[in-house]
Amino acid sequence: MARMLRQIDDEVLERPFNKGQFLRLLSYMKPYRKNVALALVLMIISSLCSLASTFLLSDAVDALENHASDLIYKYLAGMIITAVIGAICVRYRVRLMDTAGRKALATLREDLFNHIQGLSFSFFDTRSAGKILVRVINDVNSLNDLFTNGIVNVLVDCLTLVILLIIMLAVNWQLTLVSMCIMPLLMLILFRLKRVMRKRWQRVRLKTSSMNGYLHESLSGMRVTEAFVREDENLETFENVNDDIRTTWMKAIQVNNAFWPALDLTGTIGTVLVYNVGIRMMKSAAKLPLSNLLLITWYLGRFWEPLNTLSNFYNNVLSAMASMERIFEIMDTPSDIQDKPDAIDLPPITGRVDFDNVTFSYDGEKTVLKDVSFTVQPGQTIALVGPTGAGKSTVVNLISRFYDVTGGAVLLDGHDVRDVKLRTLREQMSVMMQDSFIFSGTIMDNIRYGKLDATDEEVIQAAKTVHAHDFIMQMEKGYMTEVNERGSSLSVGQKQLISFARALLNDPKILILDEATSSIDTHTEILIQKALDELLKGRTSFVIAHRLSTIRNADCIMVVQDGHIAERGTHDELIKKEGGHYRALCDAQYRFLLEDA
Amino acid sequence: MDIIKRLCGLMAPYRKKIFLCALLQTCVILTRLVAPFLTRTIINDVIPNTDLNLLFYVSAGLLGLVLVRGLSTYVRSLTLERVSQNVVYDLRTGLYAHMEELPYSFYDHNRIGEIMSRMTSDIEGIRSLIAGGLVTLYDNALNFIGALVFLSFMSWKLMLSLLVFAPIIAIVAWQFKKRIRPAFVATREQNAVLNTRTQENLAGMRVVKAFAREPYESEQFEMDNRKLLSCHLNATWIWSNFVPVMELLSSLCTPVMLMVGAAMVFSGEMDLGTLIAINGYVWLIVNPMRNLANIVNMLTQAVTSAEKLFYYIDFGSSIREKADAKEPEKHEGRVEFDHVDFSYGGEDVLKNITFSVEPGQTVAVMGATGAGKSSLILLLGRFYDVHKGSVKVDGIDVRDQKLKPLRRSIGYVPQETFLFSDTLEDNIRFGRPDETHDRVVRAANVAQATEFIDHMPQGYETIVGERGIGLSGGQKQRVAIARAVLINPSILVMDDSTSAVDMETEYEIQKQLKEVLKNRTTFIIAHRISSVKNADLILVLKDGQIVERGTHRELLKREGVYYGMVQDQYRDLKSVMAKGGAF
Repeated sequence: MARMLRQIDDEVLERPFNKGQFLRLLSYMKPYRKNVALALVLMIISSLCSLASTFLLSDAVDALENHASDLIYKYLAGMIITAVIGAICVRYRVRLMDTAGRKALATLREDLFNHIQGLSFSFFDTRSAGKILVRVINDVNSLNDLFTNGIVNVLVDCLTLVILLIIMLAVNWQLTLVSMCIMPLLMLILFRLKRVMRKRWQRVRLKTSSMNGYLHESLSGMRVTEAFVREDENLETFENVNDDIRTTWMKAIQVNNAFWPALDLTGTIGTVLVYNVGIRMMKSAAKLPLSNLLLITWYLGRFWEPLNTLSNFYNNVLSAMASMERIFEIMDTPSDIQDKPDAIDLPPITGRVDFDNVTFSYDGEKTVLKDVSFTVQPGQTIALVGPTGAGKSTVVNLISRFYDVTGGAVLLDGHDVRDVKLRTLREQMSVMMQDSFIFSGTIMDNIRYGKLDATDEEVIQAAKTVHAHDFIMQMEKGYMTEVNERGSSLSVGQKQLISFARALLNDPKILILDEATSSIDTHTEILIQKALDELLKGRTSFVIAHRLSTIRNADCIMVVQDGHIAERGTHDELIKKEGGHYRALCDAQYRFLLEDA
Repeated sequence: MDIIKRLCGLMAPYRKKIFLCALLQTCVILTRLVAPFLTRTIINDVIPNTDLNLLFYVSAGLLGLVLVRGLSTYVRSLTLERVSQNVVYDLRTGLYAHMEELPYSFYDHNRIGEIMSRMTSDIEGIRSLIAGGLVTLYDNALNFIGALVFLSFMSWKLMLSLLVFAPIIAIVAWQFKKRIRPAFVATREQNAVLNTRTQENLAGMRVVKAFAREPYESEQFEMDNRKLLSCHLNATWIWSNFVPVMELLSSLCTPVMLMVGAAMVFSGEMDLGTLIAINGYVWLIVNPMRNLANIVNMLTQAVTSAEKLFYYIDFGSSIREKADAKEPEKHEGRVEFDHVDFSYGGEDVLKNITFSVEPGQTVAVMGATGAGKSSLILLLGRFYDVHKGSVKVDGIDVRDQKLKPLRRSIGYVPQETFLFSDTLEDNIRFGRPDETHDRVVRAANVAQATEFIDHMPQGYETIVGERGIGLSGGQKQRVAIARAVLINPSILVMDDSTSAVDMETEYEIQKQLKEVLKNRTTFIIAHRISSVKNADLILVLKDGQIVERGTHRELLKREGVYYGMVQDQYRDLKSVMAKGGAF
């Protein structure tokens, strides 16, 4: 039962500090270095103001003690001024830093997204969309704190600590040293306790994310669960996950909630120490004034905050390193399919396709295609048949250069597909794949994806050609019906029809249909074919299908078997070949008819 | 009000613990209120007389207070956290169990993302209300009142001067919340837009690449990304306009109080120790004012969250087992449709469907996309309820049957294959988690899935689904068939479930199925004649009605719709017939 959850806990949450990656990340801040520098100055000013304000307060106590009424109002006026200056500084500091950080983050995200757009199929074959999504959204977002606050805060806090200490020592170094007795305890809480807290919260995060993963999946598959009456087992799994969360949460809380009381205690111990030593000093020869005593206790109370920020920063950096690593891993993945520097625009083609001794392997080990050669004349329709996994889809994927051949060459009108610009290549062809994909938006938008500047009339015409118009019009809002990939009211067949219209709208020179009509009923399919016969005049098309009716009219049928073309010819030629693969394939179809039930 | 009552209802089982928490928190507040008195004692009594004896007691007092405070806080927070976790647990698992009972129509109309955010962020809203919100509310209210009372004992004049500040701070904080909330909402919404855009781009990457739409996608992304950026910056601007002002107002409290206080000290109306002690109360008065807006905000959000949650909890399942539900004596797969009308979303999907199937027979359902084929077979397992007429399985109306045994007797292979992110083995075992490996292999064998499974590096242990490796459409369909076969159903339902499988494999599957599922009833939806030809009954649907019925032979003779389909698919029918085919 717990098996359903095991593979989810694999995301690394922390990484040791890596200077190279950190600097690389910082380079995104470079355009904003003026902002950062200015913000730094403002922060230092506001930090000084706040220290000064406390200092003035202690002076005011002095003045009170000595009944110096003119002085006290000066001090109080000073306090008000420092408060105002501090507020102004904060206001502009926030604006400067947030602008810089958010902009840098936006740039990073765009770079990442654009890089992903350039990656080839082989990248997406091995990674799920969900995992990549997490990187573009969550990993980038998690760097926000580091960008907008983290780095600058740390610099300022270090400085504040130093200034704080200097002032305290200057005021009374003996008492300061006494107060520093609590430092080891403070450090222990801030760094040791925090470390344990961090580890425990991580466990909570992991458990929560596996709960979310499980929940998402089991809601998506709820229909299957209900159909197979798996409700009780799933509920049990879900209860276990939630119980896990509760347990890990309480463990984290046990440490987490000890943090503030411990800090409170440490602070009070420090204060009591200072009082006990300080009051004795007041009466001794040193004559410590009350204001100094108070100042030291007040300043002591300000120690933990910068230290706390520092320890948080350390934790932040570790988890940011993990995010960084994942982001840069993608950005460093080169696209194995790229325009050559001297790539030319593919001129408008007639649709001639040559495979010249093409060999192909996905992983460099298992050969999928071996020495495949053929020529397709412009306007021909080629049907590819053969068992699942024989390499049919691979053949058509090479034409669009979704993958690069391992050996040989694929030529379009005599141009090697590797020598032309990808965009100009793919724009002249339309591919419809096994899994049709519907974007969320209107049906109109979905069809128009094939040709962004198509008019409504053109879209409707394309829909009519594939006989999708009727069912679209039956919907309440017609072409303006909102659809999406999951949970929409479209059947598989309807999705295929919409994708089909999308492919046609593109006005392709080469049309590739990879089991594109498998879920469309035969009647509609034949209507489509009739319309296509007209439409495909002068265009080359490749069809992969299982239904004989779909393939028999092709100009050339190629039987792909074990990575090579075992037979080729027209239906009539191939059907005559005794013992041939195609003949066997047809027989398999007719066998249903011939065999009696 | 109702919502609040129900929210309280969630906490009712833990009221003793909550009461204890209130008590402990009161202790915490008292220690805070007493502490400034000790400061005053130090300044007024200890220092002038160097009364070290008294200093010892005061020191002990300070440490004692902090210990009491720390312990109370700790125990209180753990108790409340435990309560909140228990409430969340009850709520979440309860909701999940409820979700499992909701019918298909619920999932047709509600997006997964929507339900997810109910079960995560809205429940989180309630959790934080219990674990943090209630305490904050109680704490702030008591701190404020307590500090005012203590302060008025020390000096009512100073108390009044501080009270002038309180409403100003509260108003500024209130205004801030009011302005920043829309900005946060806008940011969250734009974040969701960007999220969806990215997700779709990634899921539809093959289409993007096929149409060379990368530049267009980048452009769209950039637009949304820039919008998000300006949302963020807008929020920053509002923040930077308000928060410093609020901070300034709070920090002005001390000098202003001192100004008033100094005059009193100089006139001898008050002593220095009292003034410094009063300084300790300033934050106890200012802080609740600053938090006021936050608290109100959190309360309203928790109520909204609860409202949304209760909507789902109250969403009654339209498909419920009757109290006196029966179970047929034997599941043998007899099916009767008796004048069934079914409509969905106000549209008629099926009209007047009548037919019956004997155990062991095969029924094929054909017809164009949208003719109602899938709906028809979904009525079998009572995934939807008929509008009129009745569907009987093994002689009993499905509405009178116990749901689970009914569904257990049906092996369902849906049109769109959904596999879980789990091993192939466990996916096939889905309907019978306790089945042996041998049985799994046998089921896979029937579905012709063994070959490709054996080719996988980890065989049956390969993880598939959303987070596993991707299978081709045909491979997924075969796993789904194996999954249905494994439960050894008395009725097997295949909804266009071999569309992505090649002919020869399909032939093998059918041959195997026939052997394994001897005497089982089978429903097949298919477009290929080859898939349906051997059925005992072929139903041709058009616009929700049965327009033709009969066996392959009978329908061929009729030369009607079915005949047309055969002709479409086998255009050289005649030549086949000449070869002595069975026509």
